[in-house]
Amino acid sequence: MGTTKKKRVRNVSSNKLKTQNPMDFLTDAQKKTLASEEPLFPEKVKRMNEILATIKLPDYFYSTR
Amino acid sequence: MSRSPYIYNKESGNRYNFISSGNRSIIKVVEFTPTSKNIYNLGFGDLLPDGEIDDTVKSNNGDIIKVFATVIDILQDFTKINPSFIIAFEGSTFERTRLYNRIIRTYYQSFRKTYFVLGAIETEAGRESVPFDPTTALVYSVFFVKRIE
Repeated sequence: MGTTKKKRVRNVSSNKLKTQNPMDFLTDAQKKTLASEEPLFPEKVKRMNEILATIKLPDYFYSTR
Repeated sequence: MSRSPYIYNKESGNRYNFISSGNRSIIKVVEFTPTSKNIYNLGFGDLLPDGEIDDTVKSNNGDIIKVFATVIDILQDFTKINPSFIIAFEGSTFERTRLYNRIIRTYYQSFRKTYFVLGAIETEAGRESVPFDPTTALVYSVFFVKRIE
């Protein structure tokens, strides 16, 4: 009686994915944005400046340390 | 926060990123930017494949607690290095503002050990800053935090 050999199949692509850092797959545009020295949220900063012009924080908040 | 955060990368002194690995892999960016009053704005959003930043998108990636635990972790890092800085943040949408309210309310008991927290409320007299009260039903429109330890 012959023996049946079971083939061991390795899922190479899935193993490979687990060890790779997704940051390695950044697009050029994403890399450019991350490397930029310009603020990433200019509109939010503009908006926050508008808010800060209309609100006063208590003095104790500035001197808590 | 109880859910363990993602590992983040620090791009520079005030810019961080990490990968939200939920249903999809999404690159998240966090940046602290000085404002005119030397209060730092905390900006948070998705870095899209075309390089644009979207801070209004609803990712629905199934890992929101872990994502916010990471943002808090980043806040800890930044304020540990810059303990005198006041950090301000506001939701980009009303829905996100409500979410920030809910998260801070939920984790306030542990958050208050490290930070003073103020919230901005809109009154008839205008915008006002008040100490954060986790028991109120008010929705704070902006948050200001400062490290105390």
